[in-house]
Amino acid sequence: MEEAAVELDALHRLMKQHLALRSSLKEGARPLAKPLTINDNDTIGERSPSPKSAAAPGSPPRSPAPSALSDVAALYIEALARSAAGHANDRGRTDSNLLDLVRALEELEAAACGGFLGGSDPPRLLLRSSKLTELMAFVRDADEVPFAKPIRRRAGKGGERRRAPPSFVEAGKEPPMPHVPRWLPCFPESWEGWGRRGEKEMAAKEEKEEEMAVGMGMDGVVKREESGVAGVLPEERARVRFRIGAGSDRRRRGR
Amino acid sequence: MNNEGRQHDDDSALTEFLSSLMDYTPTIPDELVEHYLSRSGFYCPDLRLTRLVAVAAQKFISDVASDALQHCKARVAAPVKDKSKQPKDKRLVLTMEDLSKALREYGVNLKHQEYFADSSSTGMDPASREE
Repeated sequence: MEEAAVELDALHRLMKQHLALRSSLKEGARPLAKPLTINDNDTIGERSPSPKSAAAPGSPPRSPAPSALSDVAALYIEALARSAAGHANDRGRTDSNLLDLVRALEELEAAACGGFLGGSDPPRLLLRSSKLTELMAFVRDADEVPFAKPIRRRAGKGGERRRAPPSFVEAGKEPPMPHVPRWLPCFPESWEGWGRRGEKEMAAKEEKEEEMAVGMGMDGVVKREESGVAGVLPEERARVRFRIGAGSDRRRRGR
Repeated sequence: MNNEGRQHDDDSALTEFLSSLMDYTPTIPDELVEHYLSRSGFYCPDLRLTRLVAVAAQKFISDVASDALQHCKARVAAPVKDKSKQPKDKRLVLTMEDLSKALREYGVNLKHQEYFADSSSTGMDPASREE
């Protein structure tokens, strides 16, 4: 899992670099001039590149614009995915399909730009959405620019994608709690085991609390119970005496 | 009949487009897109939809970059009163100013710190600093 996270971080950095190369517009690119700052001597000087922005000592500082653009791209993908997943869940599905994606694209366009072509026609066919038409035109007209660096494929079963666990309906099981819908994927087995263990612990704890309440004497001293009960203090304990702020008092009184 | 024919054409165009996505390589790699999709709870075993998301994101970035280019060209082409301030190098560079103007049209509010000060009293007059 950690290796996958490291690989994805490396991929993200590579994507930022690639977008930085792509965003160098037609006339050619140069790094942005270092931002100016006011130092303690009230003179204007150049800020040294921060550790976050500098790739390596001696290398030019990275400009923030391509970095911001790549962050926006990642947020756009996440927003699209979240919206499409939400549309799928609203219809009782865990797997999203093309219609969910088209609805998500239209929703983002409507929220961002105030509307999209064909939005005024509610009974429109989603497969004939203007967003899909625009994407088809983009794929047809734009140059294909693959990722600049080779990507290390994940080692393991080649070509197999992780499959989501079956739903309660598919597995023929009933959800453990009444508020859990049956079309959701099954809970992992370890969860079910923990759930049962947790119930047993709660029941045992309640029994012991009842015994302790019964065993309470008139003087308020709790009688010694059988060992193994957590949280019960021993009957005979050394008396502890302390005073708050004793050190400061002694210093004041000159002791 | 005409309507049915048109629908048939549209359906075949969409089918052809989705199958062509398997041959088209978007700039954003599939692994990265799948990572962001799974982080957001999107699950789909069809690789064509993953590619469609990648293409949609690439188109979005391409539109933003084009708008930023237009803003940059408009700024460079504007007449400059003080010739000494005119930049010698006329190359077009993506700046935060142009990017934030372009993103504002897409509903993204991007703010950038103009400068970074070492302390809260940096830049103030010595007299007011003593106060």
